[in-house]
Amino acid sequence: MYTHHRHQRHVEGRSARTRHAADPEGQGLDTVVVALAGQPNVGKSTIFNVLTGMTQHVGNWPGKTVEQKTGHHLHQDHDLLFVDLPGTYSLSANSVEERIARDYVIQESPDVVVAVVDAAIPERSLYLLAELLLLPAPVVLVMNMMDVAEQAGILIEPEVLQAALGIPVVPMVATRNEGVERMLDAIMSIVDGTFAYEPRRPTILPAHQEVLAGLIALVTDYVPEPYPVPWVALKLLEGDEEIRAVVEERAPENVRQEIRAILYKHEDAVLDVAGARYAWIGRMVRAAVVRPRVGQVGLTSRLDAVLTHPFWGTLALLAVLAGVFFLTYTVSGPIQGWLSDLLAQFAGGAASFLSALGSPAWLSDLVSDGLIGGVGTVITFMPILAVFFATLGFLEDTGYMARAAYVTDRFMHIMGLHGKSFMPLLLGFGCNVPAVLGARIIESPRARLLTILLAPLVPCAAQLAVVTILGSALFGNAAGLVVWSLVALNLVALAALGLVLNRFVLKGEPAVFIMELPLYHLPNLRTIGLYVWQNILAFLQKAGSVILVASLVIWFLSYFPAAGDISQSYIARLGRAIEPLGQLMGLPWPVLVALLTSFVAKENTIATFGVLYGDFEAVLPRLLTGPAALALLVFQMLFVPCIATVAVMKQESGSWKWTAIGVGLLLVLSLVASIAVYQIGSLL
Amino acid sequence: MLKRILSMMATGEVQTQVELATALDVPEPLLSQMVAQLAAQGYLTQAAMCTDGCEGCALHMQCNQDRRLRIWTLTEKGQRAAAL
Repeated sequence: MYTHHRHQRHVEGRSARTRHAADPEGQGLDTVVVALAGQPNVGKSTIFNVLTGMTQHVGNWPGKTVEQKTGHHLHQDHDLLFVDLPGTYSLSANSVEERIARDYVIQESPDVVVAVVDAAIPERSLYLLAELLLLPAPVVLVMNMMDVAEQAGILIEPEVLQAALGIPVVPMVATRNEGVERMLDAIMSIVDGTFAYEPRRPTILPAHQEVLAGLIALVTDYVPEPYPVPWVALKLLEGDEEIRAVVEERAPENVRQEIRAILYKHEDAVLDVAGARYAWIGRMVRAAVVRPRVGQVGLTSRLDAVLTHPFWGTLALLAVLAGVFFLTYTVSGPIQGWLSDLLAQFAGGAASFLSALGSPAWLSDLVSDGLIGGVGTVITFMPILAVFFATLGFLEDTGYMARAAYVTDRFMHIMGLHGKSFMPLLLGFGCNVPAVLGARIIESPRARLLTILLAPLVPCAAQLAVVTILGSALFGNAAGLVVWSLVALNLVALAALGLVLNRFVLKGEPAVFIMELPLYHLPNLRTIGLYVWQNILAFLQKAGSVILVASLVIWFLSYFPAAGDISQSYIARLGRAIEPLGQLMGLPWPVLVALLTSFVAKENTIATFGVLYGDFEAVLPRLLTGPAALALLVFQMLFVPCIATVAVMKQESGSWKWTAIGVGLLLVLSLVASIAVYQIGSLL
Repeated sequence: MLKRILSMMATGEVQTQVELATALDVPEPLLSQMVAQLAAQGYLTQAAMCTDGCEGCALHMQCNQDRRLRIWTLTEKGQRAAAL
């Protein structure tokens, strides 16, 4: 009954108004043009489809590749032409959709604009409403998805909102066709003037009202029809480049310069303009929306009251860390022990098999001690890593890790670290290499350097696995507490070193940031499983490459030139050269050599123990006193980072000097701490 | 309202969006929107979780999830505005 020609004529702008236009069949119906505005995913299209059905016309907006949909609906002898505007978050010309929407409302001046809002999150859409109310077309507010809001426990009072806004407000569930007729009535009440349309628009702060008045006076003669002059002046204050171009195209040079001078002087007026809109939204929401005290948000708030509390949150974090290590030992300890036994039998069997075949002694030794003793021992880490990563994945997936970040942030402040430093340091628990690389996100050179220097003190997963194995062998049931204390020691050392560097060497800047904590979630087992699997895979790849090569080198150095007599080997010569240092920590030279090989990769400590001692889990407890065992673990935790981390420290700091200082500081720290632990421990 | 966010961040009065929302007496979704707008206009910037070099990182799978922590910092422009 209506031709597309008429829709197109209107929406393409060749006719300013189509009200009272006669239809081609001469029925003489009035046409009311209604624009549907709203954010994406607020149910705008559902409303459009419910209303227009088969009369829809789909094309493109003139000169744009954005889809344009129009359609008709007959209501009380009125032809309502609905124009579905692109989904937009505001009318700030940030995107082509926003430009289309605002140009349409300004230039085509529809009879009514229907602003559709998601009732479950009204705050998100009301900014768009605040902007629409500044345009000439009258607005009807539709609160769609009232059912979703109700399910979420959000109570909305449309009448209160209507009174507060001074415009019609219609509750709706478009998917159930509820509220649609009421919306049509509201549209007609605007058109026929039965609704007293008196919108309460957001205003700008007094500080900028005078500036706005000055701009209005300045640009009045240069604003083309049909742009409203006050709106244009406001957009200029907001820094809208498109509107500025529209005005400058018509204004003489002296006026252009005057406008630029005002805008330069009031560059931050946008904060007051937009800030006033948000304050207006806040008032509207407080007046008409009641949020629930229960449910997911409520649960998050209740949990956060404890988990982000300065005292209880710190206590909870320490308890969680202790729980992670306890679980790691309880679950993976027995499996790791069983794998070690299996490995010892396998090594013995392989050596016997090779001897039976008549292979040379060195080959048998290479396979049983070099390959199986080195790489094989490292592979027995797997249960420990699996449990460790599963617990880490669980904590991350529930949203707890973000709280851990929040709690530890207080300590970051003390060190004067930039807020961004936390991210790289958090990554350090996985691997120190991305932790150092991650410092790139910090603009301040001093904060970046400080982060690079401190990152190696965050114990990486490989380091944790090593101390877990050694702790278990050396301290038995007390291993969990020991490892937990070692992690705490590293973090305390990180804080202390950070404090010293910040205070005396790299004077820090105040940390300026806020965190957005995610809601708590039930963990997804598939996500955690994939996380564990990927990490185990990465670990196995490392075992098959770097650790394999290092194990073979260590075996070679320990076998030759005395054909298996380790006391006469190359490695023994090296070990004896540094033995005096080891004695200060109560450590024999093979232990010191094993610790030094962790410079290649942290796991090499275990691989080297496997090569040099065979069943080191049985040997080490007999070899080392309690203080010496503790000194060993302290040294392992504080020792210089692996070579890959050192390489990226140089790359990212761009300085050999700072790389050397960073490595040197850790070397001194590890030596001093482990010597102190042994010497003091021996006195007790 | 937006200036207050910047100045509260600059003085370190608040650490999280929840604290900020409470201090400003606005709902959290509205505060998130304000933070997003401040970021869009160059007053705030979101600290990226990862740069390159994530290969081999034990946490890299967590980086692109919605459950990650987001950190917003003041840009130079934001610091200038906060000081006004």
